[in-house]
Amino acid sequence: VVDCKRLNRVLAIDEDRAFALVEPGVSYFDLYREIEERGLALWIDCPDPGWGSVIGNALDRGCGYTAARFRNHWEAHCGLEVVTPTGEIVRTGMGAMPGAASWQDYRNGYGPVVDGLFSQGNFGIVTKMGIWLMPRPQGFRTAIIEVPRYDDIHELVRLYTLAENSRLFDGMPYFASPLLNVSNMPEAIGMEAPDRALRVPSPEQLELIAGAEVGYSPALERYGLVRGLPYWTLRLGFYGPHAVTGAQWEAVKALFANIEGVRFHDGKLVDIPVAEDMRERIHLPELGIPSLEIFQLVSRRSFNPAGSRGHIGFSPVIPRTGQAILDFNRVLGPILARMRSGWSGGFILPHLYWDRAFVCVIGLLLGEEPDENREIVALYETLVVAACEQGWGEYRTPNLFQDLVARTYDAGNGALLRFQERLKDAVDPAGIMAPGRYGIMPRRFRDDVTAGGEG
Amino acid sequence: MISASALSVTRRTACAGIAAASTLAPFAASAREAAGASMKPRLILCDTTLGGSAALAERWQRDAGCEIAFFAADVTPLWQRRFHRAWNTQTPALGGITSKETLFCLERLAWDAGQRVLVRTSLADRSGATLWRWLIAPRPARMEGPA
Repeated sequence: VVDCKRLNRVLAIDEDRAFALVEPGVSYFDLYREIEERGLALWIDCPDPGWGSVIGNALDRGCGYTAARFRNHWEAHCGLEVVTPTGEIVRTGMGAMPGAASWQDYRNGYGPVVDGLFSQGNFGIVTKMGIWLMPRPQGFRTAIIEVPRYDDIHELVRLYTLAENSRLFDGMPYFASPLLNVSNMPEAIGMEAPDRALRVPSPEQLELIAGAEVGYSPALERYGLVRGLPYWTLRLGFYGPHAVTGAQWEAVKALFANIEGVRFHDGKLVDIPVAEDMRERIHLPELGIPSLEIFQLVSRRSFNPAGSRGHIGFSPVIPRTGQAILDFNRVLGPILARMRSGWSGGFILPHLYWDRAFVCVIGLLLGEEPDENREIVALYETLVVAACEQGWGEYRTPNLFQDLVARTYDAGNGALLRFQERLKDAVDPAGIMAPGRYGIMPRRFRDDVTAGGEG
Repeated sequence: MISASALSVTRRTACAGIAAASTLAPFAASAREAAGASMKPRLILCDTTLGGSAALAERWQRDAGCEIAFFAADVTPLWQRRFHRAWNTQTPALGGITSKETLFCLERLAWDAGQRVLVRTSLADRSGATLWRWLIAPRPARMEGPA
């Protein structure tokens, strides 16, 4: 095991060009603190656990919560320094040029781009990485769109995709369904004050939800229409001067105005720097502030009163359409319902981290009972296979399932994995570095089948 | 809210408590617990969202003669403001009456500063909610090496 924790220097921060160059032991807390102490007008983008490695999370293609071009951490990297299994030090992108003047400004350099080999890979140890930082915005705004009918999901997703691709908003969006009593919003787990009053479902509503199929029944829809309870809700985030984000919000409203019964609500309006009292009301990572609050909030909840020993995340990528959301629930909902402990998550809404695709994150809780944990592992494997049959693949997976998931990316009779294995053999001939990570085995651990008969 | 008197002692509590109280700790308990038994914290963290925590913290404070720092659920701001730097530059022992989740976070942050949890004691109420009483301090000399 190579522990990089003490490689913990922030090597450079450039305020005007908005980047940092860090070593792998630099955590989000470290980088945040460095920026604060220097008084720079820059934000980091961090996931919920603020103690993670900036490099580690980017290499595993993790995500955060600020503007789209920063919350995709791999997409925000710019330039790597890597120690290869044979002991060479390789710099990617412009860094390959001695005395490079723009290593953290332009990612691609010259010729084939090899950065991806070191992301979810086992081709080297990354010892330096550039990361693009977000210029500190002048303000932050949230806003809510509500639509009343089940079938509105299609137009809601289509227009939201158009709005995001047109850059009418750039903050992290969140889905919820007040009628189905499900939400991916931070307020749902107490991470921020709600923009709208949270409604406690009535026994009648809960009964109608239980009787719905793929989240729908005429009676449930009628229940919502009569009471003004929206089927779907979308919360948007905007970064920038209030006058600009206000105009953006008006443009978004105009885009959605033709959906019958659509309602718009202003949310929070946050001045930057963030006032102390506002910190209590907002999901801190959306303001570039690292925290460990998540460990208090998700470990012992109403659906999990005894706490847990952790969870494994099943997180396939699906197309960005309303139909894909419904199909996902139609196909995988019945599998989740077979869990011995029951599936308490309800209708599954995608998370909207990426600005081009949906990812459905399903956290399966582990506990103290080996039999129950074995059942969760078997369930996970069933989900992977069932999702693959629909063309939905995981973006990232726990170690236990990396071989299985790698085998689902097997177009051309496993051509991609064979190619990766050939590269592995060339770059790591002794097979010493993280054998098997993300399914890529060195020759000495491989049989001839995955090696494509090359032996 | 539960009162301190409503707290019951779990099996693990009893073991750790006996170890912490004994001067023959090397025989009865781990080296870590023995090292922690004689140590008094310089600061006690108390999560005010946990019933009974304040009473326990104040009782401990009277014995240790130190300060209490109160926080509500999320220890991050307190860690950043009060003792992150101190952990890296000095060696004060830190005590706490917190949730298991807070201890989980602090234990891992402590590792990075060469500190270890020397004593941990769980106190459960009848509903199953648990308070943890713990002490984090520099790793004792006899524990040097892989830990």
